[in-house]
Order: sequence, then C-alpha cells, then structure tokens
Amino acid sequence: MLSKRNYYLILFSPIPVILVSLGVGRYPLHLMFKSFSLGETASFILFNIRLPRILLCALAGATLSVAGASLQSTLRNPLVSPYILGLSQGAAFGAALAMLLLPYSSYMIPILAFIFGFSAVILACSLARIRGGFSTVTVILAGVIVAAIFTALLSIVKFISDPYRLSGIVFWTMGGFYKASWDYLLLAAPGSVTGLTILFFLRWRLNVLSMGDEEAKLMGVNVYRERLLVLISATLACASVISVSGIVAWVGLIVPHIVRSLVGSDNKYLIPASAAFGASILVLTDDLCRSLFSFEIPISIVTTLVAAPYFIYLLRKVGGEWR
Amino acid sequence: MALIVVKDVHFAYDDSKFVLRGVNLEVKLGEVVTLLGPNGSGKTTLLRCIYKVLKPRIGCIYIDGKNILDLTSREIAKVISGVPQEHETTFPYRVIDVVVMGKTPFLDLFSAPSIKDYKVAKNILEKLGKAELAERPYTQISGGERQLVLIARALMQNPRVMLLDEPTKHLDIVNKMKVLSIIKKLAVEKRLAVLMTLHDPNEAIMFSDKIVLVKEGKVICSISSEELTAESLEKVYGMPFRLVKDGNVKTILPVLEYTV
Ligand SMILES: Nc1ncnc2c1ncn2[C@@H]1O[C@H](COP(=O)(O)OP(=O)(O)OP(=O)(O)O)[C@@H](O)[C@H]1O
Ligand SMILES: [Mg+2]
Repeated sequence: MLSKRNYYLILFSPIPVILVSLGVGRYPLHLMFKSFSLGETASFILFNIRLPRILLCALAGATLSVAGASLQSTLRNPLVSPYILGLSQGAAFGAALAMLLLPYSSYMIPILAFIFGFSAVILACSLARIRGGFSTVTVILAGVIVAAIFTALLSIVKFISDPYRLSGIVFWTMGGFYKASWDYLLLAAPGSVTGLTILFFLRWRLNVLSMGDEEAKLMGVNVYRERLLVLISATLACASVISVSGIVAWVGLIVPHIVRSLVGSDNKYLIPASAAFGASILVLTDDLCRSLFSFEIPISIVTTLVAAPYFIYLLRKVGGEWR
Repeated sequence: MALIVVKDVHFAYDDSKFVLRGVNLEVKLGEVVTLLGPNGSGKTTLLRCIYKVLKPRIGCIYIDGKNILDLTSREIAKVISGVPQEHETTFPYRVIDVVVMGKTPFLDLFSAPSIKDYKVAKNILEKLGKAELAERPYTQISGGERQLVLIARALMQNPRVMLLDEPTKHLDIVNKMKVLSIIKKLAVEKRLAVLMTLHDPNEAIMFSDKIVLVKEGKVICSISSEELTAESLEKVYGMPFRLVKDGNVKTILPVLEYTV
C-alpha cells in the first residue's frame, strides 16, 4: 500500500462529509434551531428529506465505485465501468420497463433493472470474448454497442409511454437524487448492500483474477465461476441503486483510479477505500447540485463535466503503461 | 515413481491441424526435465495441457497417479505451479503482492493471505536475491526482474511440480545461471519435479537430468543430458551442430552454413 495514512483518511471521510451535508440546502441551518431544540419543519427537512437523500447518495457513490473497481479487475481492464460496459443503460431500461408495464408495484423496478443490467453485462462480455480472453479494446467496443442498444430500447419506452410517466422515465436517463426518500432507500439497500458485501469479502481474490484467465487458473482459481460471481454481485448492487437514482455516469470509472493513485492497486485496500471515497465524492457533488443555483442540476451533468477532464489527464499520464 | 505421466496426448487448437501428435512423457520426483525444440513445435501447448488450461483431444495426463480430468483447478494448483511463457501486466501491484498470490490455492474464496504469508513471500524474494524489489510496482521493473518475481510466485505455491515455460527468457547470463541453479537445487532438496522449456542446448545440458527433444508435436527422443549429441539436435532443428569437449565440459555449437 502506498500510504496507510491516506487509507484511513479516505476510509473515515464519509462521516464529516455526511454531517456537513446535512446543513446544506435551501432552508438555512441557523433557522432550524429554536432555542436548543429542532422545530417541527426543521426536523422534517433534516430527517425526512436531507438524511435519506444523503444516505442514498452515499450508497450510490460507494456502489458504483466498488462495482467499477471490481469490473476493472475481473476484466483486467482499467477503462471499464458500469456505464462503459452498458450495465447502467441496461438497468435503466429495465427500471423504465417496469415503470411502464407495472406502474403500481415499485419492488419490480430493481428486479427488472437487475435482469436487464445483467443481460447487458453478459452480452458485452460474450461479444468481447475472443480466443478465450478479453482484450482491452474489444471490451470497450462491446460496451459501446451494448450501451447503444439499451439506450435505443429506453427511447422506445419513452416514446410509447404517456406524458405523465414520461417524466419519471426521463429521470433514469439523467440521474438524480431529488426524488430520494426513505422508501427509495429501502428499495435500493437490500440489493446493493448484498452485492457490496460479497465484493467486499471477495476483494483479495480480484487481484488474482486480474492476472488473466490462464494464470488465475494456474493458481487454482475456478475463473469462470468466480468471474460470474463478481459480475452478478456488481450488477445486483448497481441495478438496485440505478433503480432509484437513474444513470450516474463516470463515478464508477474515475473513483477507482483516484483511489488507486492514493492507496495503491491491491484490491484488499482499494475496494474499501473506493467505497468510502465514492460515497464522499457523490454526496459532495449532490450538495453542489442542490445548492449552486436556484434550480437543481441533474447530477450526471456535473459528474461528467468534472470527470471527463480528469479522465483525459489520466489517459495522457498513464495510458501508455496499460497499453 | 513418476509424478507426471503424459500418455499419447494429441491436441489441436482447431480441427485443421494437430499441434501435439501422440506425446509420451514422464517426470519423476527430484528430476529436472527440459523440453527442447524449435519454435512452434508444441512445447507451450504441452505444458498448458498438463496444467489443464487445454484439454487433449486424445490421451491422458496423470499427476501423482490421478487423471487430471478428475481433479479441480484448485487440487491441481496445490501440486503444480508454473510460469507461463508470456505475462501481460495489468495494474501496478507491488512485487510482494504478486508473489503472495501464490498462496491462492490454499485460501478460501473469501479470505486473504496472512501476515505470515507475506513474510514467507519476502523470504522467497530474498532467496532469489531480489528482496529490495518487494515494495516496487511490478509494472515498473525490468523484464528479467519480473521473470524472477513470477518464479517467486510459483515457489510461493509450495509445489511438488513446477512447469516453467522459458524461465530464462529476459534474463542476463548471470541471472540465467542463478535461476537455473536455484531450480536445480530446489529439485534436489525439496524433491521437486521440474518440467521446463529452454532454447539453449547448453543450458539444458548443464541443468537438466533429462532432455526431451520435440519436433512438430512429437517427442523425437528422451535422453539423459550426457547423451545429447550434435546428430540428435540436427535431426530436430534441421541444421548441423558441433560438439566441443573441454575436459568434461561439453558445449554444443551451431555450425553456420550461411555466410553474409
Ligand atoms: N492459441 C492458439 N490458437 C491456435 N494455434 C495456436 C495457438 N497457440 C499456438 N498455436 C499453434 O500451435 C503450434 C505450437 O505452438 P506452441 O506455442 O506450443 O509452440 P512452442 O513450442 O511453445 O514454440 P516457442 O518456442 O516459439 O514458444 C504453433 O504452430 C502455433 O502456431
Ligand atoms: Mg512456447
């Protein structure tokens, strides 16, 4: 590990970030306190609006980042993420489809999101598999194709749904946390916490998987089975989050890279640190989205605008190392 | 008793052409066996069949008396370790993190190496004279150093059989001798069976007990290293060789027919 200090700083960063974020918003903090107790409005805003939103944001940031890091390792490809692989688009399509077909059973949203997110991943991986291996370029190209397919399917759903539902469906393509509530958090948490837990315990194994199929097998790994487990867990976690937040681009790609440069590549440390860093960074980004202007900015716009230049810098700086 | 037995193995990547055509081979405990043959003769393919990355079309492979088809990758990895011919680097792991991966076959799906394992890994690096590399990113060391790191990882598996595909590739002459001596010493001391490929007949003579000459997917002959002659090499490579003796040191030199 590069630095133990960096690691622990990152690991505990979500705590101050979450506390500070509770104070961010239209309704100013100093008005919340009447003498020493919270007013009724204030406690409603704090506990039923801000807190679930912040927690959902943190969960989404952690999930996308951990999924990104895990996918990068299993496919031994530093340029992969849920968004680039088409997983996000597949899950968003599934969520929109559930909304269109079964508008009154919200628990179906994460289920369909998972089914289509996983189909997208499997499709991308089988398209990319050439001669028993994944090359960096083919995985990206396959991801582009799969993402395009599911974006098109999502447009069809948009096209045939009525104006009332349309706004709900557009939401998934833009991404955002303004709809967050305790109900949403409960909808996302089971799947994403399960997926994250599996990836957390599996994390050292990701090192071995990233050595490539042949070498992993030489070290006794059942490559097919273990990669499938990683893909399922990552998809489960992402699809659950995307069901309630829509597509949040770039986080899953950029966070693992930043964290790798701070704590090193060993997934034993990379995974927990990515979770914490992803949580902090997305909560802070959402703070900006809801306080910068008098209206809310969709979060994907901000993550893209911030992450793309960083990614270009990254590509220039270390691209050569990864061929 | 033979630890590896290869019986009549035929293999083809695609249906058009057999790359291995009836290979028979035995490697015993404490024995170093070298595969020697031209590029594309099927050496790498044979090693891949033995560690079950490829499945023979015909024939069987036994490890310690058990057919490898009845063993899982994990059971095989507890007995056999190896260094493939090519390694594509990925993320900049520290050298020590790469070496400790050799512990994988002894760990559950959800566990990681212990502090003790990291110490063992460090000891192995020390034995190879590369302790100072431990903290370096393994993507930023030389090709020869990386080769040593991968050999260290193979030793970390605490194997009974090592399959080494061109272990001296990328190494300078001193490190070649060093690595081959270590391999030879391990074979004797730890009663390891070693099956490796080399391209230099002199290295093969110096460090192996048995030399297996391979050509076009067939074993031409399997001889002790003293028995290697210029004629047998000529048969395999299709080019004349000359044997030079200096005391009891035997050197094989190619005879150049081509002039520039
Ligand atoms: N993945 C593959 N798909 C198809 N054919 C292959 C593949 N790998 C190797 N071959 C073919 O199999 C034959 C044997 O290859 P192999 O790699 O076993 O040779 P080798 O003896 O190890 O050669 P070298 O000394 O160059 O490493 C070659 O003719 C090669 O073209
Ligand atoms: Mg070879």
